[in-house]
Amino acid sequence: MAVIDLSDIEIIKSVLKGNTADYTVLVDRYKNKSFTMLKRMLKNEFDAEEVLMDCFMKAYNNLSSFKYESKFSTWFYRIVYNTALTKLSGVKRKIESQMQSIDDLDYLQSKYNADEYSKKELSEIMNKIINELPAKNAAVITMFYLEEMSSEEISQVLDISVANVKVILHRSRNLLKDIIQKRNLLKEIL
Amino acid sequence: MISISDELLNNFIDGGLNPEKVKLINEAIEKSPEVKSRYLALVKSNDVLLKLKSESVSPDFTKTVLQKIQRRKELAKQQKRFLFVVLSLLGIIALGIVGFIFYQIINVSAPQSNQIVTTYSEDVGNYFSNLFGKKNISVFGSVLSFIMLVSAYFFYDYQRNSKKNFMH
Repeated sequence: MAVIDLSDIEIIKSVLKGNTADYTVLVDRYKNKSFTMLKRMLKNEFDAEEVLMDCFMKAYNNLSSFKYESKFSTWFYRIVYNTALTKLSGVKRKIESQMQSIDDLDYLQSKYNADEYSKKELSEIMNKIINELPAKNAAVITMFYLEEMSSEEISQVLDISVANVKVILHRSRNLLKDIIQKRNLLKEIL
Repeated sequence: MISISDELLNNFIDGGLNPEKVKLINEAIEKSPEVKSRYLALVKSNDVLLKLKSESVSPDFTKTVLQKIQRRKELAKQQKRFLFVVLSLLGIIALGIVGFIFYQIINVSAPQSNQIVTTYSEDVGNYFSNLFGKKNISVFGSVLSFIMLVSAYFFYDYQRNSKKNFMH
């Protein structure tokens, strides 16, 4: 069986046996999705790639402490999320992220309901909105829709309750819904 | 009829409601254009989110990760080797000191045993005796401290450079 077909757990066991090169399969498997999450959290491509590199190194160095109780993805995304928060806390964005709390998405709603965005493609606006979401919301959206993780898994990564994960998800979805309604896009789908 | 909140509609979309509530919401969507409008907008936003694509890292990202891992492994090996050399050196010095102390103890407690000691070991003893004698001990201590300080500086510098290489 080719290494690429192995499960995450099998690859981890192989890496721990000394096959370092097999770790690249895990890197390839998670790099783009976790990069997307980091880019949305950090709002900067260069920082996102640097932090991601750091995350993969941390994961490699602590691979022996992985207890196989959860999925590798859950364990890895916890590293990614916490490293991103550490990065955020070290820069000015700390103030920004503190201000843009879970209950403060109104500024985005009013911004993207403005006329200047009325002629743009919906998907383009959605991307812009998601890129401007507060770090925690961006992380939840990425893990739920891109990584297809369940609310339970996301709650483990973020160390918050499942109910809170759902609140974040629904608030982000509501934000998009309001923009769709305001722009009368429903006529297209009704 | 209960009011259908966005929260309820979101849970409906996620499939997190019991059959009774599902029936209630289906009826509300059929009867109320306002609820239907909100529901469709939520479905649309859910669809848009589902279609979001991931972004790509630079093409040589995986290669760089592997190189960094290998560099770190090499660094760990070098550190081990360096520590081994330093510890061996310290071990030899410690052995020398212990040997000298034993020699002195034997000399003081049983001078007659000197007769048994061969000429060769006597020479070695004299050498150590001179080396650690009152005259040389302070010089020897200073030299040893200097060597240790220099080693510590080089070790620190080496570690710092290695870390820098590792980071970039």
